[in-house]
Amino acid sequence: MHQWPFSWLTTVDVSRDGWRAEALFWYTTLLCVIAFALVTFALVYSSWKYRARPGVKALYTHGTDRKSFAVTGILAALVFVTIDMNLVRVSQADVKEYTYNWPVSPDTVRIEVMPQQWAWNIRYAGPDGVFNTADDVVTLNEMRVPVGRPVMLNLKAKDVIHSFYIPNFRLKQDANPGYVTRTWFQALQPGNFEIACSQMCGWAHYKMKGDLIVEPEADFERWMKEAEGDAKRRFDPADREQLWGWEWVQ
Amino acid sequence: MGDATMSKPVPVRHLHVGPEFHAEQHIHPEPTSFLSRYVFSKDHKVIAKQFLWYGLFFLVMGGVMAMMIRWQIAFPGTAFPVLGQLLWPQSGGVMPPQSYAAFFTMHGTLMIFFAITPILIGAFGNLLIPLMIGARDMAFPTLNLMSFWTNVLAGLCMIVSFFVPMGPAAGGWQSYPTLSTLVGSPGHGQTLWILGIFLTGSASIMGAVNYITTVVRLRAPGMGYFQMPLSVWGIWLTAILNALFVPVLAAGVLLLFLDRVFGSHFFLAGASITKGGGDPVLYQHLFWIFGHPEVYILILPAWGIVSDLLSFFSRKPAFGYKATALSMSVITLLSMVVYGHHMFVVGMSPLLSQGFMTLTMLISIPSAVFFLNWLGTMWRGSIRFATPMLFSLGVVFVFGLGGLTGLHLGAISSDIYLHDSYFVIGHFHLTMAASVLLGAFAAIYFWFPKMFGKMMNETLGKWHFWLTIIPITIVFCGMLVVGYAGMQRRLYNYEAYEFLKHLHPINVWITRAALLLGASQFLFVGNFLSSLISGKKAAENPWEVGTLEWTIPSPPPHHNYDEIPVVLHGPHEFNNPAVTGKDWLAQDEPIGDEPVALGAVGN
Ligand code: HEM
Ligand SMILES: [Cu+2]
Ligand SMILES: [Cu+2]
Repeated sequence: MHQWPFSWLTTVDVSRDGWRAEALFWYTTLLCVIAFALVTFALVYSSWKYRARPGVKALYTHGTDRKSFAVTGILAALVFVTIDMNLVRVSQADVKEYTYNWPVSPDTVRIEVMPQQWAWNIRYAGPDGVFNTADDVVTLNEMRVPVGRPVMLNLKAKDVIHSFYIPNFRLKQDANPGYVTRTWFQALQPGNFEIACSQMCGWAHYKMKGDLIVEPEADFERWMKEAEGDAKRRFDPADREQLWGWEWVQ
Repeated sequence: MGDATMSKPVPVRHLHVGPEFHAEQHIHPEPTSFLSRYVFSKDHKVIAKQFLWYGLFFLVMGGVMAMMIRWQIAFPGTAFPVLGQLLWPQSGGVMPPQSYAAFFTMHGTLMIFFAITPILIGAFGNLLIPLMIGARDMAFPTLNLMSFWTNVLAGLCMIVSFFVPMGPAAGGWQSYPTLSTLVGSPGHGQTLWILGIFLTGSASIMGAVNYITTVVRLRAPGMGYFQMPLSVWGIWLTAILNALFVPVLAAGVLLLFLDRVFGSHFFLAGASITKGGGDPVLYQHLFWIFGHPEVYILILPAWGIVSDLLSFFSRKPAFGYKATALSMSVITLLSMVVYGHHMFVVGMSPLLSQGFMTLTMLISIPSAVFFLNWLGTMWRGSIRFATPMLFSLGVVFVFGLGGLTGLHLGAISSDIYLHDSYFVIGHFHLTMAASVLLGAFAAIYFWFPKMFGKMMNETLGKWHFWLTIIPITIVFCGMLVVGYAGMQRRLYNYEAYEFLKHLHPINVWITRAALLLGASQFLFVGNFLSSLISGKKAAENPWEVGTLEWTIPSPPPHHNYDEIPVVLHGPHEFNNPAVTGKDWLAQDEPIGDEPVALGAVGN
């Protein structure tokens, strides 16, 4: 919506909060275009108007009179207040209402993500609600989430830094080796979307893709049931490697 | 003091001659052997030329690599003409993904540390500081020599790294661990990269100490800080930032070196180690504490130069000179406290992120001040559109674009979408690649006569300008567009992603413009070389300006000034009504028979 008439350029935004980045982007762009148009106009206009002509001398001024100071000062203050303070204000509201406003409702889907060179390991807690246990549902390069419920991620990288990027949600979060980072989103419509890596992570970085499958609640629950059954059957207590999860960080 | 020049009868002027002007500057005899004259020279003018050649060499190398990167993006699976076959015969001339990673890494590294830095800071810092402040040489000529040759060693490390097994560094110009540790980059390429950065960093620190001291100690009598040309201001502030922040980078890469070579764990964590882990993000803090000031390290000399050239070619005193100098200083200070805006998505504390965002936005105020002063300088001027002026106007134009797009990245919620995308690539190329490159061209066209005693060809220069500014704008604005569309940086083949496939036409056009940009640089190379050989002989002051370097022959004698000049005016006294017969006034030229008293302290 916000991105019209440039919607052909970018992906559809299917998230509850992606509009924030879009709105701020276009708001900033609008202010920038105005400022840049003024600067360019002044540049072109003075270049033409004040080009050297025989008999016309340049004005001798150092621009140190009170009037020049006042004009410069007022314009600079105006730029700061109308552009910068506005952007800070909008962005502060965004981070307060969304980015750092972690979902607490009990229906939140919790997922652990451990990227490695060059794949996405995904883990759900399973029926016991505890991560890193035998009943965890683990997938590779495929994340399933239901429409309309908040999804919270814990991320930690296995080898090098990666970044979890879902363009249709206007969202990105680094995953570092050694400690857990968090992010969250909520889908508004079902569909298959791409998960991309946005942090250089080695030569095959460009094909570190995953799928984000957003399904209606019922389909998601059906899939989860099935997967939980499989998980129990497949679990091999001798294989310590598969317990790569960690204690959930809210 | 420049402002005090008036047409009325003037009382005796007591020049400020503080203790700083008493540093003695002997005239040393010119060295006679080839080695001491051209190779291991201590003459700042010779070292300036060495840095210029050195920087231009790496500019060509980095530039060709940029063309090959763009080629791969637009025409994947096809061979880059000629060079492709030479470099990758086994794949039929097609660049493999490993080389792509190595090339964007080395392109960034070479351009920043080995092309732009040597040209603007090494060459023009060296050339301009002593000449413009009326000194015979740098404060520490031997340190100057060491700085250049340390840089040569650094450059060698980088070049050698192309020939080691597994190739050069390929983890991005920031070389974030753990990718840049043995976990992600075995082989000697990355280690050589660290050595090269450490060495060039050491060279920068040597240069910085020298520049700072020279400006503080060797200004000619009468040359107060606010009589200095703005070029010197820019270079001096850059030197201060270099002295303060390059050591931080050096510390970061040194720890990385220890991790790679001696098995320490400063930056290692995750599955690759069993216990005693470090923190890879610590490196990012160190890197950006340096990295943000680095942007200003690159741009400040260009700002200073442009501020001077706009005045010179508008034939008007620089508008709000002091305000410009002070706002550059304020930006220098602010650049120390905003680095966190590079790290909004690493999982930093929300409070820190928000603090960094607000501090970042403050930069708009001083930026707005000197932008307005630039426009004010042109206002009611009498503008001569010589090539250096065209390039200066180009800097104002592209820096306007680059500076403004920084706002998108400075605000957290839009940055989360744009971080690590082509939007960032477009933004920083506009600010520190395009504008600094155009600034470097402006400087070269302008000071070439003083450096080499020959004029460059104006017609070729103007063609070069237009065939540079148009494609450069298309290239980097095109990158802003695909970046907004969501395309990540550092992708060997973006068409691996469905959501990026439709960007193909735009990417092809960016590449076409980039190739045109590359091709039009031959105009510059041709002009530069032919002028060097057979250019028209340059007069002492071909541009008719008043800064001190134009009061001595082109090129200047070994010791610059037979007699240290006595500075009476600011650097931009154009169309001063008290002056008749010409529209400029040299900084050391008395108006009429204005009496001057030397030796008094203060004024
Ligand atoms: C003027 C022609 C130039 C062109 C066409 C160009 C193009 C590019 C391209 C295509 C990339 C790779 C983006 C990616 O795949 O992520 C890149 C990266 C980069 N460029 Fe340039 N560039 C140019 C000049 C410069 C200059 C003068 C500088 C120095 C200030 C510079 C600094 C960088 C840096 C630091 C990177 C990032 C490397 C990395 O991702 O590690 N470029 N450039
Ligand atoms: Cu990755
Ligand atoms: Cu920065």
